[in-house]
Amino acid sequence: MRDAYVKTLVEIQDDVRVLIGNLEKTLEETKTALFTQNLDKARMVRDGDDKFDEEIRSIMRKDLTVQVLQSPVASDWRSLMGTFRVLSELERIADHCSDMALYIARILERDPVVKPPEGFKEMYEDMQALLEEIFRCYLEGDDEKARYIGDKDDIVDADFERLLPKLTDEIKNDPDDVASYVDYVLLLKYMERTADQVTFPKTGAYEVKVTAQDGTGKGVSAAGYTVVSEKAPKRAKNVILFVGDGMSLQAREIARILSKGMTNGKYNDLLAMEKLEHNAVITTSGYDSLVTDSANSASAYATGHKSVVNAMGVYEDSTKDPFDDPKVENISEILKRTRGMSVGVITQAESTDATPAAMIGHTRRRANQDWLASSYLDQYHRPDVIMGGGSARYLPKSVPGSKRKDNENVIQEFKDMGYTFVGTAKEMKAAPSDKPLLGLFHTGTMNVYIDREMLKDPQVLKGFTDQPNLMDMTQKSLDILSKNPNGFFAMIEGASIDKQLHVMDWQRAAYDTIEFDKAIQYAEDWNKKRGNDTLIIVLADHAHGVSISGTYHERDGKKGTEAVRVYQNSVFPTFKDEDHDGFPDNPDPDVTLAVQYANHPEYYENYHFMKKPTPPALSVTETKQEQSAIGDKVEFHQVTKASSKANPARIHPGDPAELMPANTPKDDPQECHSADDILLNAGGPGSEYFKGTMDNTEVFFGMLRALGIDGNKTKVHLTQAKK
Amino acid sequence: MVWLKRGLLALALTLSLALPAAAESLSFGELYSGYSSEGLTFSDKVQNLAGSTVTMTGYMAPPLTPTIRFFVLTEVPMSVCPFCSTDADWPDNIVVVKLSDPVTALPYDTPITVTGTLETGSETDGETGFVSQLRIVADSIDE
Repeated sequence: MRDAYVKTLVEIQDDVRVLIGNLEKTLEETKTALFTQNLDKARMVRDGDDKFDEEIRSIMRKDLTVQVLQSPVASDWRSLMGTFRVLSELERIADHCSDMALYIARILERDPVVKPPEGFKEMYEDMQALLEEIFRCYLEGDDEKARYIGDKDDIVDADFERLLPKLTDEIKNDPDDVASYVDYVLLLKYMERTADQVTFPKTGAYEVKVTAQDGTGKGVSAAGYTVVSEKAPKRAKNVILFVGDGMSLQAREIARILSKGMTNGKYNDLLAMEKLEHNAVITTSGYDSLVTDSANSASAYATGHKSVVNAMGVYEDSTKDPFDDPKVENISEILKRTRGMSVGVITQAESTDATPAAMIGHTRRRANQDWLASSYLDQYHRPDVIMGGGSARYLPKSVPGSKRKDNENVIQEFKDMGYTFVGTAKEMKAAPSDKPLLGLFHTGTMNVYIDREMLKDPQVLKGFTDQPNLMDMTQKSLDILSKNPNGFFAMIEGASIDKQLHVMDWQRAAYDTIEFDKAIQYAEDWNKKRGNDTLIIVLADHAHGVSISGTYHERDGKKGTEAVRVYQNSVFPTFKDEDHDGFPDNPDPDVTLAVQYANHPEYYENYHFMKKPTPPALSVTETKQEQSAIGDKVEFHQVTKASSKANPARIHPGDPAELMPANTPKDDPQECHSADDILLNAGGPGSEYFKGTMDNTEVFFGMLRALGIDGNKTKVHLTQAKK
Repeated sequence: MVWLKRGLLALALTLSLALPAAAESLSFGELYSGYSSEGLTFSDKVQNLAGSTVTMTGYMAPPLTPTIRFFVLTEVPMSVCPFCSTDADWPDNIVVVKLSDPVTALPYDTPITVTGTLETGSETDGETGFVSQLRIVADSIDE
């Protein structure tokens, strides 16, 4: 059955081959018509487009529905998608040929016939050579290579720029032949457009459908794509995407209560993110599951395509190799390719953790962080500013603290490329603003605000006593990135909001949310100062099942669940911020919030702030003796599986031990993400795009719309070489 | 869990006979003298004790295979399972404990004391590809 599928693909490819042959002939005939003044040929090409369109449509109609015994493998998908793109591309070129022939015929029908101006033939041949090279890539099935022949496009663009003023001069010098010269201007434009790299040239809806049959029956899988080319009325020069990892609506509200406080039920102020003028509700599911993870959701923002849990920048295929899945070009690659913009990824997690990595890299398995660190070096997506933790992924395995499996020294490689490397807050502040920067402040995840800036417990910080805060990281990254006259894209992540909610430590999550909000405040002020040329987006990537049930105090001697105050008993919490830095002075006031979770492992309830980070559950393995019978024989063997149990260290001294049974499967010892929608706020040029309820992939298009990026244009030549 | 205790006991019995008299005690807090994002530095104590017999107390990180040839000793019980979740990761200060005779299980949530020869330097486990910097070749393991 698989043979039939492959056969259909081969048939389609044969058809494409014939089509390309015909198109090459047409390009040659157009050339003859133009440069030997052959009116018959011009008319023939002009009228031949219908025939072409019919041929293309017939191939497109050729049923791509094929029956296979196994699911389509990566190469099949690539082939199908590639064929579809190639057909669209050929259709466009054929259209352009016909249009060119129309103008040629008009010129040739006039008396006297105005011959093509000098330089026209060279440009036509440049265009023809480029198209032939692209056709060759198509015939070799290398659609990706075809897209990377961008520098040749620049040659045709340069021809255009050179010839246009010449033609305007001709019009001035030869007013009698204005009509013909205007047609030559149009011809010129068509030659330039024909050479443009276009994948889906026409906007509108596209659908790719595959039917697969296996032992259990027939399954149809369809993927819909809408091709858009929108541009914002006022263009943004830069985009800053603030991702509060796992920052659900309630996580924001907790931060607002703690940071701003309230009077008679009204908040004294809003968070900086809440003051941005536009907002939208964002849905977060991936294409494999309702509940997503940070890799998949960040990938949706970075590519405009949904992927699967643990994947970024790829469509999942059926092979085991996590690096061979079909790739989707991401925002960093598009912005570098089309406009030569700078890119920054700034996080408090490891710099190769899911959210930052999804802006840059492509893998099915986000755990391959050492591989991702090396891939950051590749020029076509190399970030100009990288800041965060996770130096372990960059250090050769011979160095204690390394988490690499080889001896590559990625830090040294970045230094060799002219990057400033910094390892502490002090070094970061002193770093020059006119050089790219690699700032790694911890071997693992950076410590959270409460531990880093307030408690400073040496047992918690280990030796990492000079880690920068997110405000200073934001300031330094904007200093460096804004030096690029072509603009920049920065992803700045409040990473530990998620990590602390996973371990059910809402106080640490709240202080990090406040820190994140202060970094946003800095960016908003910075943008205002420079005349509002930057689109600022603040969102989460997914939610957590965290909820504010009321408040908690032990003033009347009640403890534990009985001391949770609801309805009229939920007196306001007593957080104080005497020094007005936005962070409450004490995370453990006598009236605090009662925060509870919808999805949790087995744990002991504790309503108090834990001075030492204390995870709710411990990871354990359960080994069982299992019995299996094969014929008469009974065999015993041990089966081990992951499980978890409540961490006794979580019981608050003096409080009753309240054991909460797990309400999610025990193999995960953490609180899990939830499928709840999240909120987006946006300000600056292009922010009017965000409204109502939107899918997470739409955020990507909102950013490209604001920048006015034409994804089909290749302006900056990039090689895929590593150095 | 009878089989587990028996296994432990057997291991302890066989190995304790060969145990040298003096074993220097080493704590997790004493492993490194320098922490920087450009790498950690082994403390003088660790460097001096390399090749000697040491005793360390910690927790066994949950393994995923029923038969254990080596395991990871951590300062506090693991709250994530690095082998089962791609989201999770090991803390910085871990010690790999190598066993001459594979065992089937050890307690994970109560502290265990490992005595054996301290090894430093990068080593990659042939079967799993696990890279370690600090190891104890265990002579005995006690609850």
